[in-house]
Amino acid sequence: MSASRTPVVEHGTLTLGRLLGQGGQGSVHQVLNKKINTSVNGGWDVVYKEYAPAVLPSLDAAALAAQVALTASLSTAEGRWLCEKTAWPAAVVERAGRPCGLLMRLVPDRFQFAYRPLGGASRGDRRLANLEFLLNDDAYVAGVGLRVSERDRVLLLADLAATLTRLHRIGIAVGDLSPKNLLFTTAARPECFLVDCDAMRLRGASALPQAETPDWQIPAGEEKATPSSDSYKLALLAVRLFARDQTATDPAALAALDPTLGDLARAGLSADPARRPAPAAWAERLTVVAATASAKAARRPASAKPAPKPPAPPSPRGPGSARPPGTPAAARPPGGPGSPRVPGGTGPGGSGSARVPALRKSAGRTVAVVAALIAVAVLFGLRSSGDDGSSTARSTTSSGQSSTGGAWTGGTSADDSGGGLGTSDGTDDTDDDTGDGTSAGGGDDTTAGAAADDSDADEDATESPSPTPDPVGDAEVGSCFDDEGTRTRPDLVSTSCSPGAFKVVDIRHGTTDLDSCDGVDDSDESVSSHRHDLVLCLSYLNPGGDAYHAGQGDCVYGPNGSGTWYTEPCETGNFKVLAVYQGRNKSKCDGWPHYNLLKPFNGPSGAGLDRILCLSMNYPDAMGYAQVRQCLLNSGSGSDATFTNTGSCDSSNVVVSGRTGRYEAASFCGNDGWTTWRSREYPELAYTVCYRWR
Amino acid sequence: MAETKGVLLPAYVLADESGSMSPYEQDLTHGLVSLCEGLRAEPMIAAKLRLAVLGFSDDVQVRLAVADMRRETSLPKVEIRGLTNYEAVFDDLSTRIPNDVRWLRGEGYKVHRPVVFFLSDGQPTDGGAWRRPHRELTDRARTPTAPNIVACGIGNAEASTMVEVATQPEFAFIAKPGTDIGRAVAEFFHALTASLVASGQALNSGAPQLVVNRPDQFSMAIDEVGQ
Repeated sequence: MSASRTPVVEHGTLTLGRLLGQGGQGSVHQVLNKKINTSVNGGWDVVYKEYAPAVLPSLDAAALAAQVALTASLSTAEGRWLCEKTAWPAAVVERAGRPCGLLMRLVPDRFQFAYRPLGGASRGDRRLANLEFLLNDDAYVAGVGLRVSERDRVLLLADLAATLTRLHRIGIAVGDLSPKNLLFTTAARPECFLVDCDAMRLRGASALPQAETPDWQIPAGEEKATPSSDSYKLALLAVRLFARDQTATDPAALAALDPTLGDLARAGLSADPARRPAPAAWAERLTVVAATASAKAARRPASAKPAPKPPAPPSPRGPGSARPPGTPAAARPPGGPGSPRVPGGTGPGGSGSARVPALRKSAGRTVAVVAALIAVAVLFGLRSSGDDGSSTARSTTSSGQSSTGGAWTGGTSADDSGGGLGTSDGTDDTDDDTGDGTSAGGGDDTTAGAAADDSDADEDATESPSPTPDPVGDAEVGSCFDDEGTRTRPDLVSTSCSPGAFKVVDIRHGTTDLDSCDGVDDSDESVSSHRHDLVLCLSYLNPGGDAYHAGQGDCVYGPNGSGTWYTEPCETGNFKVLAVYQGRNKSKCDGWPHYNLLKPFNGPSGAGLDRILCLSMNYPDAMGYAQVRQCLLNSGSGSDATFTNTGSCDSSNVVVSGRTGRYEAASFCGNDGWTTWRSREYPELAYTVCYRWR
Repeated sequence: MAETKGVLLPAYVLADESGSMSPYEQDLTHGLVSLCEGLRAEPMIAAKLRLAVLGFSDDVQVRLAVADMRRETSLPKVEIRGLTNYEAVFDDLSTRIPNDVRWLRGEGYKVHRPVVFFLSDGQPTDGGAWRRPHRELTDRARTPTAPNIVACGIGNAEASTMVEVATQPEFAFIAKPGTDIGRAVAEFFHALTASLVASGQALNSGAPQLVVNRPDQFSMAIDEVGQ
């Protein structure tokens, strides 16, 4: 290995284990008797990729050798980086002096996930976390056991863009950049990992003819595996990652997240390679967008148990049909085919744009709180301006960890005296003392003292905490609290789970990190207790109905005007959620196709949790949104007739000749055919559409 | 909305639910589960497939209706009952497949020629009555969406019958003599999953073709028939 810089391994010296994978190019086996990079923690496990006999004639042995030699020619840092981000070929494997395959590192564990099977109870295998899993609707993503937030997606893509930038600098073009060759993790820090690196092109040379994955091809005639072909596929991936679709090319969902990203995608998909933004431009913008993207994971499916199949076609809510009563809030399934909310960050500044307005450490604040019986800290609100000095100070202290937890003394258990005491400054210590309601005895005094140094002192409770139940310590998922505190200072009091209360939707033990509620379904607010070393994830039971927590793709319904709105299965006559925005800026809905109703919700008072839903009526068929001159396919007849948008006039049999917002406006259509529909509750969304046969 | 949504492969699994399969009900169920999970865990393949599972005996019952496995929240379950009526199968498919294809096209998809995976453990109990609907179903002039049929025989099923049911001799398989039927059922589903995954890839590529893997423990029925 010293003479040539190309490590070569004789096939006969390998002890092969399990077959890990098989594809058109060959097969991948575990290698039991070799490791690479042995200086690090005992080294990395390796795998052997053997080329299929059919592939070997087209293998460029010199190009493969150059790939293997690359790492040694790079600086130590660059080489290490390459091996951390990719399964770069580590050695050529030869049989009788001829290359037959290569060694590469085994994919690191963190790029696998526990696949959740449909069967429910049984735990699934660990599988490679292939990016293809993310290009599907959120019900699927959550259903297979992945928890991925919008922010995770942004950060993944940012990491990929940064990785491509560096690969390009080294002289590597990925070429077949596709979800199959990309792994991801969202665990500690969202990042990606590239596999199938022998298919990449190094300084113009390819070990194997450049192939492309179907649906992931660059424009015909363009040279394959160049930095600009990678840029094209990065744009495609960006579009699809946010469209949650494997074949989308429309950047609408991406543009809804951030118009600048939408612009990057449009330019990135340009047929002219010179117009495509380089990955660095993506990385830069994505990093900005990540700061405000929702950290809430997509929702779990309704049930992990085998569920009865939904009844085939839902009965249409046609003219005159009465609306069945909505699902009561408490009985609402936790998931369904919902997608995560579109974070509203449409403004270039992105301020105030995340859908979940609490929980952002950078933008919010951490406050150690004096409450009746408990020590809690809360991150609340996105309003970045107007932080008062004391909150800022507290935020600092709190992020120093544990200072709040150990501070009180009142003779409580030993574990309370843990570290951190010394690091807190006096003020906060006092504050924390108070917080520990359970420390019986002299709690009162301490409480009062703490209150005194806090500007919100009047909010602090003063009742005796003697042997009282501890609502935070006793809290279970499903418990409810009223928050009688202020915007920055929660004061939780147990209550029944009625509208206006906060319900515990998850409890994170062993942490006081308020971000740990990120990704919890419907969590609006997080409250930590250092005393109990836990975080309560709270969901606001909006008196306006559980549609308050609906996400993009969910369906909702409620009365015209005031009344309660529920999330329910999609069917004709209810509304699909196109987008959810924080705040009350009605103009945000305007750009959405098929937008026809806006539903505002008030959040808990003063919390900055108001939001609006941009809604679209679920019409019985494609006539609902058909435009004049559009072609449609009519099937069935009489009252069973339905109209489908096939996307092409060739496969259609009618063309729309007119449209009015009136119901049963037969005369409007003259001699043409017509179809009409209205909702009793929303007569303004009625239509009569005229059509001619073609 | 202007773009077509891509090309789908409709795949039908016809599972024999006749009384003689009763000792292997678990194997059938497990096989179906592994098929469905196998596809669900391959989202790029699942997106291009629509899977239907039909149980047949005296009649045909739908265990899973033309499904995108990414959207399914439950698994199909078989129900052992009755005789082995092949006629019911091909009668059913003659209307079902064209209807399904029409529906998928209406949804904006293009559709590959459907494929049927037929698993039976016995000879037809309807004599030769099944041949007429079978002929109709597989005649591409009469049924433009005529499916490719892959036929796998276990237990008492005969090689010559499988060759007749399959649309190409190389699509007919018969479990090797002495093979444990439960194992053969498992292998059938294993090969079926692999075939669908491989077909899903191949059909999507520049040279679209149906890939049919021979199940382990099965031999090509045509070799047994000795044509």
